[in-house]
Amino acid sequence: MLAPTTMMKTNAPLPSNEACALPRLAQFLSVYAAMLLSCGSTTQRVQKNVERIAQRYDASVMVTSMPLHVDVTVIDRQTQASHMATEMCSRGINFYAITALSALSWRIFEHMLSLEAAQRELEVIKRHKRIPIWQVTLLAGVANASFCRLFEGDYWAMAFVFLATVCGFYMRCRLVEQHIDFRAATILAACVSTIIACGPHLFHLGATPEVAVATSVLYLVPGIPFINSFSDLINGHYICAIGRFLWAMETTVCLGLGLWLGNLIINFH
Amino acid sequence: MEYQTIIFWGCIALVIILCFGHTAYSKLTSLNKKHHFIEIEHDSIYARTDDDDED
Repeated sequence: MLAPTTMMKTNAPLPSNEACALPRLAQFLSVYAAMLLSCGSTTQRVQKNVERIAQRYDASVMVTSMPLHVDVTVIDRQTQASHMATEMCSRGINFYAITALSALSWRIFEHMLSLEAAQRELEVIKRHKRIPIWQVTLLAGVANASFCRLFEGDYWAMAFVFLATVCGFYMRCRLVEQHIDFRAATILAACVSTIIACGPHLFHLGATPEVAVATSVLYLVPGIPFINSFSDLINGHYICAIGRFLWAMETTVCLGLGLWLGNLIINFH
Repeated sequence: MEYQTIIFWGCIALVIILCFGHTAYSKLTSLNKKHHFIEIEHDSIYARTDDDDED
């Protein structure tokens, strides 16, 4: 499959009579990069997309990704530079936004979109509504119950894992909405999920109560931050790699603590 | 094993309260604003009874 950019392009530089054009481009790129990083993209993808967009405007760009903010420096042909830093907001993993933002960078490059049009499209992506939380909660419950089945749990174990996941997932979301620290919310959610998943053991239902308890907290495992941290490590973005890895380890320790606490309370062996 | 069952149902109740607690609280406060069942005046809280109306 040919790369979509096989034809020669003459990239139109920013209008030189506009004094604010380069700072506007720097602002757009830094907001774009921060949004992409916040949604769970790898640093390599962010770098490639931002360079592609800057190339369309005949400028070069340097992106510095930090765990909590991103710095963008844009340099045009006249070696004028503009620098902008944007703080990242915790949006949670959003695959739709990652795909849409990547597609936007290709549209800007291939269709020679103006900066105003690009900003409008970015706003549309920002305003796009996410899947309703109740749907995500139910689907997370079904996914975790499937994990339980993969580990040879019986139907009673699956049912209690589904209930435990729905309760824990919803609880964590509500606690985070109330600005409770994410780590405390993870510990509480893991503890509640573990206690509910002890249902088969408490009420003597089914033959695999231990599988239910073990798989009840799998929905809290931070898979994507771990994968992204290793991807960043391979591509040389060490600061982001270490930042993501530490965040993922914090979450893992918290879920382990919640699981241990739940087992201690119920006295499940 | 009895206390463990209580803890189990307590967790379920906690999640239900977290789910519907805010809605129930909002409805109760709006009812109270309309009918003034409980009023807070300075440092004391008093409940409106029929004796207050007769006075």
